[in-house]
Amino acid sequence: MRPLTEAETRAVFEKLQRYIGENIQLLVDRPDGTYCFRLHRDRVFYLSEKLLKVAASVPRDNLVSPGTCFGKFTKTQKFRLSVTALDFLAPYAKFKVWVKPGSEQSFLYGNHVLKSGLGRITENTAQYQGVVVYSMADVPLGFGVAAKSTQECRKVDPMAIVVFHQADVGEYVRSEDTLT
Amino acid sequence: MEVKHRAELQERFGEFGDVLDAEIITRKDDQGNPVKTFAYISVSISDAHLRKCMSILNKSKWKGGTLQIELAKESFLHRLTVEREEAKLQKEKPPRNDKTCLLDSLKKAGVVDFHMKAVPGTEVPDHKKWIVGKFGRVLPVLHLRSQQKNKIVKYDPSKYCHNLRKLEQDLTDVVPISELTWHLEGRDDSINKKRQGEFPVTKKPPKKLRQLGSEALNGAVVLPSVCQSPSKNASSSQLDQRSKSRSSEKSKMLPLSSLNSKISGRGLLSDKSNVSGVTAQNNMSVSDSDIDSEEEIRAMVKKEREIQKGESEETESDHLEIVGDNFELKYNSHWSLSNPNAIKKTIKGSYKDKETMECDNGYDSADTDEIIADSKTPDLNSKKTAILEDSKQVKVENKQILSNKKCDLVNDSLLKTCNLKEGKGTIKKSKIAALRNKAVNSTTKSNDSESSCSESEEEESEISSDYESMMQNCYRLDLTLDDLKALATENTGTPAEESDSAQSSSQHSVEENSKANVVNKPKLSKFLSGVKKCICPEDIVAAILAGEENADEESSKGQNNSCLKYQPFRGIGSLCEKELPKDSTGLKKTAGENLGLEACISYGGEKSSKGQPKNHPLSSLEDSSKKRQNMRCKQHRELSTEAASLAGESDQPISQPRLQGKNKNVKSLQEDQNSERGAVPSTDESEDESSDVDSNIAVSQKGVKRQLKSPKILSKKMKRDVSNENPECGTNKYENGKTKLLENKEFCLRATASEEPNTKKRQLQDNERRLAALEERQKERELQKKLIQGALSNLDSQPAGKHKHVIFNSDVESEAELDEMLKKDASLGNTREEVESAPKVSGKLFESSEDEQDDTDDERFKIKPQFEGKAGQKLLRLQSRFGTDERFRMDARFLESDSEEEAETNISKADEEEELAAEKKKNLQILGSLLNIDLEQPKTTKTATSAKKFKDINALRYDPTRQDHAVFEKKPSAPEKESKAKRKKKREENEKPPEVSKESYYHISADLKELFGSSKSKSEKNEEIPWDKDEAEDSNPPDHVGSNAAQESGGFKFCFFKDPEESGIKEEPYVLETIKPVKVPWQEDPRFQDSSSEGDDDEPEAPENEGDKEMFFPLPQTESTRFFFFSKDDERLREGPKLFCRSVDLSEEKDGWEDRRRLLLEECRKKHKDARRKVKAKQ
Repeated sequence: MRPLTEAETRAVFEKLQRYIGENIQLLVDRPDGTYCFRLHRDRVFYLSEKLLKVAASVPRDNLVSPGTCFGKFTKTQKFRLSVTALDFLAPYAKFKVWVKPGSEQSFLYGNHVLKSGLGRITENTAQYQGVVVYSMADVPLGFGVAAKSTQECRKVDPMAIVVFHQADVGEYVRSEDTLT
Repeated sequence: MEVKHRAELQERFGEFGDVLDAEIITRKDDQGNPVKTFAYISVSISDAHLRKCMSILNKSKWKGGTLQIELAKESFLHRLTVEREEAKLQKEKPPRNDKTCLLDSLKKAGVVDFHMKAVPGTEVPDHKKWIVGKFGRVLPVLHLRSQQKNKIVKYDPSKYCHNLRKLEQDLTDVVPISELTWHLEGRDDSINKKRQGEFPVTKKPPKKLRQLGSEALNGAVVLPSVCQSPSKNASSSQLDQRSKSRSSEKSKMLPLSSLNSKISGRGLLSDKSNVSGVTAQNNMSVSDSDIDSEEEIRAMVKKEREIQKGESEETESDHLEIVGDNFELKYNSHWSLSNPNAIKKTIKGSYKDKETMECDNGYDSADTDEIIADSKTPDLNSKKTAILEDSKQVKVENKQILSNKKCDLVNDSLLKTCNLKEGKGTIKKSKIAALRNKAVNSTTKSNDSESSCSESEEEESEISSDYESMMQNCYRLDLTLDDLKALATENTGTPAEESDSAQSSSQHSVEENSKANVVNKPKLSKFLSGVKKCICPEDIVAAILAGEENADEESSKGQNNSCLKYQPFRGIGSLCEKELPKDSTGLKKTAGENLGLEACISYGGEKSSKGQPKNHPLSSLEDSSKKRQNMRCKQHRELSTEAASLAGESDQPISQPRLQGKNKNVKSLQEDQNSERGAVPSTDESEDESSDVDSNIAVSQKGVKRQLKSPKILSKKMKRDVSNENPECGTNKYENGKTKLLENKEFCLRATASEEPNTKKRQLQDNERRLAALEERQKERELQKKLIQGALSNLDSQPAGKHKHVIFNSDVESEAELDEMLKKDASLGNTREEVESAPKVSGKLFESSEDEQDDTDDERFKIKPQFEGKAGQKLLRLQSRFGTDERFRMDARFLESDSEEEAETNISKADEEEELAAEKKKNLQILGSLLNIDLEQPKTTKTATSAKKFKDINALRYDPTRQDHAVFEKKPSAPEKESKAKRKKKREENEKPPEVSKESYYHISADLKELFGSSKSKSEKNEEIPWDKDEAEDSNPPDHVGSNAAQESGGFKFCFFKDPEESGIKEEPYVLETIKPVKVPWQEDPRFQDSSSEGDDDEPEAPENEGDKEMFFPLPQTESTRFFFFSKDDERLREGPKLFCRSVDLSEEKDGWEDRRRLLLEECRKKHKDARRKVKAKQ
């Protein structure tokens, strides 16, 4: 477990920025305590100072997950966001996509969101903008990337993909073993 | 089965008409097998033939399939050609028309000679700057600034007309329809494809497709005459056919197009075709499938419709909602957001409730203005209470309670208004009438209150009927109000003779009323779960009404009480009251009455408390009391006004219950009542005994004031308690009211009368109680100690046994110890003290004697410094290992210096924190660079931290006691250290003219007349001379004024011209020197500046002053004349004009000027030469 290098931090923040924009600062500079990012087994964890101290006492091999995993670095040093970060990112999300109840399941199975399943979308969503996918009951379901801008979404064919799937809550079940 | 050739079709349809064209369309499936075939056939056919054809051939079996014939829609392309040709025709016509029209219009307008085809370049007659341009357009001649040069170029549009080109729609080279290349937007869409007739074969069921196809555009269309369509259509279709066959015929095309347009306008064909798609058109489709029956077709039509609808919906709005950034989620999963939101929601809800309640209230009380006025004021309170209650209670309950409250409040307010009105009426009219009124009112009141009670009960049971009941109640009250008004008028009409009867009636009614009130109040308190809350609105109302109601209420209460038990007494009181108010004016009357009543009641109270010894023979006392009460009434007035200002919290009658409530809150209920009871008689006694009314009043005033403040402070604390305890209070009151109605009432009234002393008493009591509590605590402590001692004394034998261990040592020691033992046995006290003092920590010696026990206990339980902290813990552990052995007791000496460790840990901690902070900072920096906010984060964090302790710079005050404010202090400059020369220089630099004005000011303050006189005498000659010379010459007697002024202002002491220290020695030349304008330094007296060095400078001052005197007057003179405003005979007015006139002869002046000029020139040349020389020399 070590703090992120600058490059890593940059990568992480770039990714996070896609979803929550400048709200990252609310994660970094939290009023309720000191929170930090730590790298452990190529995974980035977001944890409080308190937890950091506690986790420091656990041997590295035995340490599964200090704090909340935000994602992991691939072998090519790209940062991949994981669902576990959803709880922290969802409240700060700038662009949201609501999925109709019918296609909720489809999304939770790891599929992209089609136009037919798109219930609601934040206006001015740009193409390839990171979005947080919500159910119509405003329960955050996962992350996605807008395949079309809001304006394009209006016109587009019902079967066209509107949001690319990035991560969804279904992963908690599907990839239980790999999630930390 | 398969129709392969047109010939076959021609054969088939040739019987009925001339088959011009046939187009066979075959749908094929994936493998290329034909699924469905249909054809468009254009036939020139007559109506009758068409009918015949349809009847014969339709649904006939042909080549193994059913033949279905329908009228085809008009082909899109055909339509397009038609339209285009139409457009062409129209295009050809209009220009000519336009021209003629224009000419006509011009002629009509009076323009006769307008050449339509003017040659470009001809000017438009009557308009010079307009010219005919290329296409006969009239254009303005422009004057433009050319770009390169600054010339203005005339731009004649006619000369540049070759630039222009007319953009005309060229219909001649229209792209032939067969080669149309344009396409619709969003062509890729499947829908659009469908529209265009391109069908993805595999996906779509063939049935639908055919229908769509029939709609869609396809080559030649034959419109055989249709039975369904009207004859017109048929003819048109026939025409169409012909036009198709001979496409060049335009003459026929026109009517056809018009007919078409008609048809479309009617929407007969087109509409039907659009909606149903089948009925209106003759789709001559030749298909072999057996499925095609009418029913199927209908089903298909339905499906198609659905599809169309769906499509339209899709295209119009795809159920896609687009929301803004500020879209709020219904459900918040976040830790930080969920709670406040919920709170907000609840708050909102409560507010809504309130609002609704308010609205309701307003609505309810919208009947009369007074009610509105009253109900508005309680609203404020209700808000507060609502807020308070919201936190405690559920919304629904809230609503109920609020509604209850509201209705109650309305009732109260109404009652009050009634009272007020009556009171006013009574004040104006006779007293008896008032009494009578009150009686009537009281009856009504009682009714009202009862009704309200009952209603409130109902509400308790049934929430649903709240509104109606309230409404009813209000309405009823309203009526009663009107009645009361009427009654009041009646009463005013009635003379004062009915006093006795009225009294009796009033007594009865008042009894009822009092009962009702008493019953009502506790109930209210019950319902409202807070006496305070129910009182507050009343208070405010009372405040608004300036205590008049108080008077009324008090009076009513007083009446109640008096009537109830002290009728004779009351009679006396009433008589007295009668006597009293006659003198005073209206308001005072009421007050006096009230207070008189109060007095009566108070006396009654006294009597009751004392066992009613003297009921009747108190007339004399009453008189005195009346006086007192009068005095007090004024006080009450004041207090009431104060109360009004204090939001009526201290209105006596109203604050009674509240005070009680408070008392109850502070103490227990019974205690409080007892104490109050105790207080009341005592105060009464004191009142009786004390002949000094004034002192009493003063005390009471103080007390009341205290009260005024105290309830506010208390109320906040109480509010919470009140809700819990008030029901009890209410019940208690209720009980009291029932059981000891009299006492209670007296009590209340007594309380009002003697609130002031009560408060004092209460304070005293509080103090006593506190002391008592302290004593009790001490006792408890002692008891505990005793218990502990008793417990420990049992263990006392142990130490002796333990001492055996020590006996191993030398004999001497043992002997000593034995001695000690003996001593202990003999005299426990001293030795044990010693022993105890020695083994402090061991704690094995326990004493039986109380005095020492304390010490040991104290020591035993004292915090030992050596066991503090981590190292201390370690030490303690060590010691515990050794047991209780004295020898291994750990002292402070054993204490390891853990400071190092601590420091280390601290350092590590600090390091960690620093690291984290640094990390954070770094992160924020990266973030800033990422987001291009230029390190916004640290700033924000700073602002965040600074926001916590925000300082308003404007509100910043210098606090000398604070160290950080030293920044604001000006460092005392050390003027002494600087050399005098420097100082002077500085002074010279710093000091600037403003003193001039000051000088003038002084003189103005002096006698103006003299100055005027003097200035006038001098002005003629003075003005032309420079002012400094003038000063030098002038040492005239009138100037003494100025000198005097200077002397008078000796404390001020400043010299206008020169530092006196410089010229301290030589005074005479000093005057002359200073005269020179160049040398005048325009500076202040240094003594004026540095007062610190005054001690040194004092001596030279005295002589200088004289010089100063001389210095001072001259300036003032010249100055004194110069007032801002011109006076009559002002010298300036005289001299001013002179400046404009030539004083000397022209020739003289000329000569003089020439001379001077010569001189000047010479001078100038000389200087120039010198300068040149100097430059050369330098070079």
